[in-house]
Amino acid sequence: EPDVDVQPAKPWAPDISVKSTSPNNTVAKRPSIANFLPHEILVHIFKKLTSKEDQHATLLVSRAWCQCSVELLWHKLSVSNLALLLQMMRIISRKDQTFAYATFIR
Amino acid sequence: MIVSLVSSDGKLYQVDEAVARRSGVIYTVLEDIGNQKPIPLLNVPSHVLKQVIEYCEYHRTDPLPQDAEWSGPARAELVRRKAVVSDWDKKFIDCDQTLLFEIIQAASYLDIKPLLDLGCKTVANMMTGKSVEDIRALFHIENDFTPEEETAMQVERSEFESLYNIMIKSMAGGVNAPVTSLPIPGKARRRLRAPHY
Repeated sequence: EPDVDVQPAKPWAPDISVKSTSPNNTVAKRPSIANFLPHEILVHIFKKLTSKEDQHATLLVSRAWCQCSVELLWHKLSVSNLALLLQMMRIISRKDQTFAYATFIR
Repeated sequence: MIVSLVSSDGKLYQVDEAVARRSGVIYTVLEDIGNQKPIPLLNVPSHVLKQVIEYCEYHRTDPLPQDAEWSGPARAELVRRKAVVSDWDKKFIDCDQTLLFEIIQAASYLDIKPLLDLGCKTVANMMTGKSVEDIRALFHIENDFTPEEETAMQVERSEFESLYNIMIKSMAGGVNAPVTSLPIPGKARRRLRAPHY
C-alpha cells in the first residue's frame, strides 16, 4: 500500500460540519466521538480496509466520511486500458458530480 | 532517567525515558530541550494517558523508527510486527469504543505510529462486512447528508464500482480487453465529444 499523503476532499463549504435539516437524520441523543474524529484519522482508518465493498460503503456513511474516502478511492485507480480510460472520462466529464474527481487523479 | 508527563486534567505520571521515547513528539522534545521539567500533554486526559503508557511500557524494547540502527534487522522486525497483531495487543485494544477512539486520537497526537496503526486496524475490522446503516449504528454516526446528496452519492458509488470492476477485469484479462464491452449511453457519448467545463 503506497503511503501517500491523502488530504480529505472539500466539496461542501463551509468545511465545518453543518447541522443539516435533513429529515432522514438518525440523531443519537449524545453524538459519539466517532462524529468528531479528525479527518487524518479517518483516512488512516479507511486505508486499513481491505475489501472494495467496505471501502465503498464508507462513501455513504456521512459527509465527513465521504470527504475522506472519496479521494482515497480515486487515488488508487490506475489506467491500464482504453475501456477504463473511457469510463473514467465519462464520469469526470459530467457536470453534476459532487466532487471534482478529475483533480484527484494523479 | 525518569520523564514526567502531565495529563490534560493535571495528573502527573513518571515514566522511564525509554518508555516516553515511544512517542515521536516526546522524543523530539527530549532531543531539543532535554529532560528538564514535566511535559504537559494538553490533549490527553489521564484515563487515556494511563492506557498509552501501559502500551509503551510493554513495547519499550521494540525498535524505533527514529533510532540510528533503523535498518537491517530492526527494520525487518518492525515490518513483521506491523503485519502480525500480537495477543497482548489484541487484548490491550479490546476496550470500550469511546476509549478506543480516544486512544487513537492520543496516538495520533503523540505520534506513536504502531499504536495508531493498531487502533485504526481495529476500527477497520469492526466495519468489515457491514452495511452503511450498520456502520452508522455501530459508531452512532449521524447521517448528515441531505436526501439529494445521499441519492447523488449512491449513484456515484455505483459508477465508481463499475469503474473499479473494469480495472480489475482488465488487470486479470490483460490490457487488450475489448472496448466494445463498455456501455456508454448516448448522452454521455455526446458529453465525451464535447465536454463542458
